[in-house]
Amino acid sequence: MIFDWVAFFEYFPRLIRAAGVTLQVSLLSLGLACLLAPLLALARLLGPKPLRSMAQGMIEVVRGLPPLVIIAFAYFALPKVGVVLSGFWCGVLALGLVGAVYAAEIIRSAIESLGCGQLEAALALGFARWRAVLEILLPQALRRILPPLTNEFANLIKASSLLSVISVHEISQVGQSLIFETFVVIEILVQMAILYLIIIGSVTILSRRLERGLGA
Amino acid sequence: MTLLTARGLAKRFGSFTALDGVDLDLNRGERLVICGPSGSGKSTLIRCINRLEEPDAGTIVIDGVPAKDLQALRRRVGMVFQQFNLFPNLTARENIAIAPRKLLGLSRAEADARAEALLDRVQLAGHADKPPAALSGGQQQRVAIARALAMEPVLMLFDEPTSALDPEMIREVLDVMVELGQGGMSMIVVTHEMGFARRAADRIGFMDQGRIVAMAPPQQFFDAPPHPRLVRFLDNILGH
Repeated sequence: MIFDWVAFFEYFPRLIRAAGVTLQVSLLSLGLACLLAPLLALARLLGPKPLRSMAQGMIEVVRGLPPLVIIAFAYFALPKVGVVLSGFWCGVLALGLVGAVYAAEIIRSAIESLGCGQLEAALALGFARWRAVLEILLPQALRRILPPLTNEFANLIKASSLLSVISVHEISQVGQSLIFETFVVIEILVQMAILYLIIIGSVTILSRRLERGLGA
Repeated sequence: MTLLTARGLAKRFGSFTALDGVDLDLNRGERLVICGPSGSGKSTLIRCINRLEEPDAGTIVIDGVPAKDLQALRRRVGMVFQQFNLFPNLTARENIAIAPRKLLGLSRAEADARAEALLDRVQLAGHADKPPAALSGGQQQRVAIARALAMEPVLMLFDEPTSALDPEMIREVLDVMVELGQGGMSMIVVTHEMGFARRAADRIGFMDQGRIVAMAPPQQFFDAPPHPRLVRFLDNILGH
């Protein structure tokens, strides 16, 4: 097999631009997930019954559907109720929701895994329940949260490739159309792989740093 | 001077009756030891006093005030657990200082000073910067006692404080508790340490099947046990 370096460098700039879109979608949906996940987790742990059931219901629904279906819903169903967003923002919304739900379960299970002794100790000192969870349990749970959260975030970045179906010009979409235009297959696949590895690798390295910072 | 009055406390877990109408009075400065076979309701009783368990029936009045505000009640009632339950991510000093700082509004410096003084009192000066994992079981339990004392409680509850300890560490924890009692602290101690009960208790209560079936000062408790079930219990734990 001959690797066509000329083709490789000819198409690389277009894919790099696409990587920029992948990076933007990923970071924005990660941000949304990070914002929503603690709220969902706390609603499940501390909320009054109706709020707890709502959070749980939302988690079960989103967990029970393939991300592709959720992305399609965001793109095709939202306009019917008057919410018109670009493919890009539909993608951010859908992926952010998916990420938030998984991250919420990670946070909840990490807090519950601490055992009731820690909660009781805090309650016995006079902490209200929500303060015990936020000020005593959550700091302890952080080191158990981070490793599985990194996994989840890597999955989320990979799931951004699904946005190719709603024509967001991210790595997979651009790579695919380049392949169909040019019939240069291997060179473009290699470029796509390199770009994904760089993006996900940076997230992993960043998270390791954070873990070490927490002394985990 | 009555500090605590409990009347008709009842608590069931499913079909198991843990407390079956318990009445209890504690005077200010009194040291009460509660013993009894496992499953007799001792732990449930003191967990009901600071409402870690919610009793199904009965009333508890502490310091003349019925316990309405849970957090306010718990701030005035310290608790020491069998498993220590220190916060593993904090140093000994931080374990003690965190509640006064967050709940009583002490500054960091004030709370740290309070923590250092308490560590000194439980013979652990110089261990302030260690995390719980670097301390022995006996040392951890003494930090846990200091942590409860940091809220300046009017009553201290001990739930089998030495049951999880190696035998050679039991003494150091009991010594701290004896000293605390001598200093005038009101205490309710659930324990099987009969040596401690004889040495430090004003009264000893014996529980069986969710009731306090005997209550007497140490001498009478051991020399003329006022209940047949208690005679057997003492035979079992002192006889071997």
